[in-house]
Amino acid sequence: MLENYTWQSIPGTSSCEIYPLERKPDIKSSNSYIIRSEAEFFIIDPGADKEQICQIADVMIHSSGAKKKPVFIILTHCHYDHLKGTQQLILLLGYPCAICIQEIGAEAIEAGDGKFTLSYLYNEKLPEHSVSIRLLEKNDWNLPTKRAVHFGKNAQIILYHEILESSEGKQFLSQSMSVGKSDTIFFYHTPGHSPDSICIRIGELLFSGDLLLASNPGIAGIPGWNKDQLINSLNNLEWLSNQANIQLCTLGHGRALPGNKLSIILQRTILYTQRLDNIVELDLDRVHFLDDYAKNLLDEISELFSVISGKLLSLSYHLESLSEEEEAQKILDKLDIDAIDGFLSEFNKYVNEYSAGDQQEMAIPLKAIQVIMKIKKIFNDDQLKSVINVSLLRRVRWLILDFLNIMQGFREEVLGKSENISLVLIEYLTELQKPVIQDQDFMASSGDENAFVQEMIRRIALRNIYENVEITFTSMIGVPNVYIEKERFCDMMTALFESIVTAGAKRIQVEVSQQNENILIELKSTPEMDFGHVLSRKVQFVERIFMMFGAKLLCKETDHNDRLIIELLPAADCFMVS
Amino acid sequence: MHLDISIEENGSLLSLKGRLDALSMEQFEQAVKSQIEEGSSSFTLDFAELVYISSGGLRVIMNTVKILEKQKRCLVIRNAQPNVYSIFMLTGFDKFIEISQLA
Repeated sequence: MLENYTWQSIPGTSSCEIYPLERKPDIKSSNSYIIRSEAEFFIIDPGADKEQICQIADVMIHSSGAKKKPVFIILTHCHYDHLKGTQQLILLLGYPCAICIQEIGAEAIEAGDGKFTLSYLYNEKLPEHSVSIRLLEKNDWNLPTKRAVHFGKNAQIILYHEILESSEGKQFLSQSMSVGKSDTIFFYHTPGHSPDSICIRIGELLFSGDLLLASNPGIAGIPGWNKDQLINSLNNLEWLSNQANIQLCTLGHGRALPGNKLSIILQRTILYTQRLDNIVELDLDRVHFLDDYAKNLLDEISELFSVISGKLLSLSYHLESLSEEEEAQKILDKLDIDAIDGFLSEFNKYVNEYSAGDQQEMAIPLKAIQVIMKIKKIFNDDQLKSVINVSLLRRVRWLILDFLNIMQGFREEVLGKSENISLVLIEYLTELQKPVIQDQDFMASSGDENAFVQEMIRRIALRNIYENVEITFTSMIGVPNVYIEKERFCDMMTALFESIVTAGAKRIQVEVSQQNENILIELKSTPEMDFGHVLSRKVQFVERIFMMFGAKLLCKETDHNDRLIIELLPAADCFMVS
Repeated sequence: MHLDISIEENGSLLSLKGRLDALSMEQFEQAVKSQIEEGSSSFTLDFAELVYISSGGLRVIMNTVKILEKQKRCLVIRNAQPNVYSIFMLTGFDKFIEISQLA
């Protein structure tokens, strides 16, 4: 593995050395690598972090041969987090450097293209750059096997091209130049993450840029992302890694991978990428949407986990007071409450810090992904089913799944069907009010100590909050069907009912009617309440979920009382997923 | 989280502002401990400005209830915001803590 911040030999080369500057993965800046040979320096991706740039300059200035050897700044692609610090680095070094990037990337940065370089995500304008050496040009496919490139005052390099054919029969362009006395550096065109993405090889060391990260949630779908190109490139890279005896593969973000793991990671990434259909492009509007959505969702998940954890705590309290300390501890062991609380608090702190300072777009959604993945690892809803209402567990699962899908770039859609809403609600409301634990089951268990304790646990845990609430239902006849995913829809109704009941409702009237073409589900409570206030922070989130069904949530005030109305379109008018 | 402590006729009043979660639990526990050591006979928590309580926050509340019960002291929560009140009701905490909603 590479040792950070120190010079070390590059395996497979006669005399080249590398100085890695690898950082914890973040959206702010990529990793950087300095390579030196007897005759030149290469800097791969200067990155965007001021401190990192100063560090690179410092290493270069104190390195033997500084100012005497040409410096090539090679960009794996034109994204801002990889190139922002380039001009600053050249200023600090105090002498010209040759900026090298694939042809399409050169065009983007020389045109100051904020979209393809993603500088728009950082709310910054791309500084002016002049590219010295355009790599892997379209014409190189047709030209003779080498091309001389002149740059600077009187400098020249020779680029040698080769068209490689991978095991899948796909051709891709490779280019190389001499390094030092007897080494070679290779460039491979591997578009997909961006049209200009390249991989670089020297000896047995491969630099893959962001290629292996390109299918991750929040990354797939960025401008210039292309699924088919990405799959081709990943396949080509897998072939190459077998041909070239790669010992180590560096990434644009995060620590390098050992060569023997590369093939399996590439195969997994290919399979995952193949499943990415109909990704929504990550433009600025979508980024703002994701930012908002991530915060709303984490708020909602935080509350649900408070409820789940609180139920477990409450149950363990009751068991302790019944001298069932062992059972009480087993209950608490079902969920690592402190770990989840830690993750959610970490996110909240992050949001506050980023709201106060410079905000990079996508920072919040990407942080939310990290937190959700951590929670997903430790949240085992199978363990909890015996003591937590399944609807509550399902809501957490849906939220996590929805979030990852939306971050991935999938559209907010439900796989629903046409349903008779009155029948759905009758079934739902009947189930809602059914006692979870039957008295006869409890009494029957008294002969077996273990069975009795388990029934007692269920009785305490699954207490029905609706048992003293009167719920009535009326429906207009002949109301058209609606398009919903029944389970999801009912889970959202549960979220609304819980808020209303815990706000003190003793009676809830549910009424289905039709107004013009729309189907209305109206909720009224006794005593009357201000539903806007009752739902408070939940409103935005619940509205968003109902929108997925093509429904609107309205809190209406009338002369007589306040009502909560869910307005749905008839199924015939809804977008149907094929 | 911001925490104000004042002494009322019937014991200590702790007014919490912000969030009671993993990052602020210890602050709350220290405050309660200091009031117990000063001999406070009962505790009122004012949640008028508490916007969120996490699972960790519920745990410290529960631990506080258990400590006070052993010493035959009581804990009351008042002015809980709707979402916080809802969490206490849904989790059954209302069965062993007296809690009222923000009017």
